[in-house]
Amino acid sequence: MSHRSRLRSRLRSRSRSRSRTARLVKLGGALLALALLLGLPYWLPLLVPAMQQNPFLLYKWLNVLVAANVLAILGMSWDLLGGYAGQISFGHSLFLGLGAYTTAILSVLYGWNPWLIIALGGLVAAVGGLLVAAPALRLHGPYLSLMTLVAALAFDRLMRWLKPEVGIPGAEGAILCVPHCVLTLDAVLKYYYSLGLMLLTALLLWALTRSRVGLALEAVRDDEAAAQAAGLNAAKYKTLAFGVSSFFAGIAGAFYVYHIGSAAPADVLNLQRSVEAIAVAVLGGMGTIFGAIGGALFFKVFEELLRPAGTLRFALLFSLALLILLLVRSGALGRLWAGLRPRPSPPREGAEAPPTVASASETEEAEVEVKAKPS
Amino acid sequence: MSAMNALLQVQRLSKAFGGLQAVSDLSFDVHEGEILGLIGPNGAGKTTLFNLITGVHKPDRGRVIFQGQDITGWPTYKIVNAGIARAFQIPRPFRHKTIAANVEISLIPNGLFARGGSRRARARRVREICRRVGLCALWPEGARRGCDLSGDGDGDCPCRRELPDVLPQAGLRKLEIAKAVATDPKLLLLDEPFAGLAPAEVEELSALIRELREEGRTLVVVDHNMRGLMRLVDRVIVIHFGQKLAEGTPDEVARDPAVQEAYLAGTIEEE
Repeated sequence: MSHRSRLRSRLRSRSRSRSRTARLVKLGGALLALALLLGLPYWLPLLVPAMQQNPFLLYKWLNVLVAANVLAILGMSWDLLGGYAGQISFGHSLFLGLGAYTTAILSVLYGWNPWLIIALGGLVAAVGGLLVAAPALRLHGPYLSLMTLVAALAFDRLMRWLKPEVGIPGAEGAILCVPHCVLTLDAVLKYYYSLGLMLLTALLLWALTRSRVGLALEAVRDDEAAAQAAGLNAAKYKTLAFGVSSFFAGIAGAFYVYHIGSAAPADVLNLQRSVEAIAVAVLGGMGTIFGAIGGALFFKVFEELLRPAGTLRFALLFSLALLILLLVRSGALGRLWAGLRPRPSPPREGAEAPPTVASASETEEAEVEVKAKPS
Repeated sequence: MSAMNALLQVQRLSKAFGGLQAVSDLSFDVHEGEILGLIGPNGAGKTTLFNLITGVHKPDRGRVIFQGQDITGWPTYKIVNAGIARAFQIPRPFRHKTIAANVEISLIPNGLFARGGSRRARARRVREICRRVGLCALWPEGARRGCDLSGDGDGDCPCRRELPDVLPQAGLRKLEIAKAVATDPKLLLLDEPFAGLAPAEVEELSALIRELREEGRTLVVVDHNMRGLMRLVDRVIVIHFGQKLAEGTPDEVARDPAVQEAYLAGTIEEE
């Protein structure tokens, strides 16, 4: 047994125990984050005494977090389509807007149960997503992205032109739907509603990506021809990703209307929303689903903290997103996440690499020896 | 009679790319249960032929009949699901997915609510195939305990941990074959499976190809040199400039004057 292989075995066993620790750290971190989010209305005033005297300061921040949860749903929906299926959409505001307008109109005209209307908002957005998917299947890369961008722009201009006479008509096709579209006046309860919806979305999308459908999406993203050769109907999986992604983007838009009480082109159809969806998914790490939650929290909290800077704050935030996009393509949190993940063996250069059998046997011998001598 | 046991019929197939006639008026049958060798120099149109059969390219003229069904112009995934799988000449694994996941991708059904079996059943099938093609054997005895089928279904098989990048060239070939076998094909098209392999690896791969035939699969093996194929295949078709130059048993083809001329002309390599 050479010195080198001893060293290697030590490294190997350390990396193995590290992977177990990493799993515990990850689980612990997720539970801690969940506890913090659930208890937020209670621990935040303890942390910021000013909130005890002035409950409106607490409500203001709770509203920021509601907006963060909505953005998280939008970001996660984008990540399914962009991060998993590899279909980079520049026009997610289209689906956000479809959900928002459906909700605003239905709540004023029919006043059904809010949750039913939110679900319908998601469904209408999903139909929109499937309509976009049909031509999008023929396009790849930048052409696909451009198509989604133009579709979102077209819908924005259409609503500004239509000026729907529903509820209280606002400027340029906006609909003010209060008091119809009010979920609750209790800021704390509204926070929990948004948190519940966000966590449910995260759970459903995560389960989808971990299922065989998620594996198929990744295969189509990485090498469409090879996926076809494996018998996968790439068009079908891409369409599915469009449908599911636009559904959840629509849910985000629908809930947003119940949050702010209006649907306006300058707000929900603004192309900035599309960029925000990408920004939070990229900040948190593409292809992670959960990453968008962290990205959205970071984005909205900083947006609020930088409010004194006025419109400049968006320039700062987007510059930051740009920097992260340039530096770490898998996102800041993604880097962290990957650091906690048990690493597979480092890739070798070139396909003609020498067989691993030798090195594998070396480590194996070493491991056997380690096991034989429990010390 | 020949139509009865012909698994695949290629009928007067033609394909041109711009001014280059890659395949021209090519016809042949693949009989059920045989190992057919397709030989021709580089650029003879062998890979194009595979692309035409598997629907990657659409032929300009001619038809492809599989099990009596006209599959000309079908999309690739449909042809694969009908029972024709293909291992690429240059291995193209999904690099970000483990070896086992690479194989599992071929097991995913297209129906969203189709019964694709449980995750556990799929994992078991993946291990079966990885062992079958000799992927697990790349690791030493002790390291592949988890690959045993008697295990509890979630063994610590190296194929489940490692990315395809750790595999040597022969291993990547095996992975290509594993991915193709996982689609449970009746007809398996292997594009230059021996290129760049050491003699011992060629022997091992030949044994695997024979075993796959024993399982009841039909195989078409493409190569640009004859020698490696002579002892493996039942029948040989020589392709030259997209056309059929000769057809017959390996001995017949080797004695064929036209083939010999092509050899002497140096267009068919003899290594």
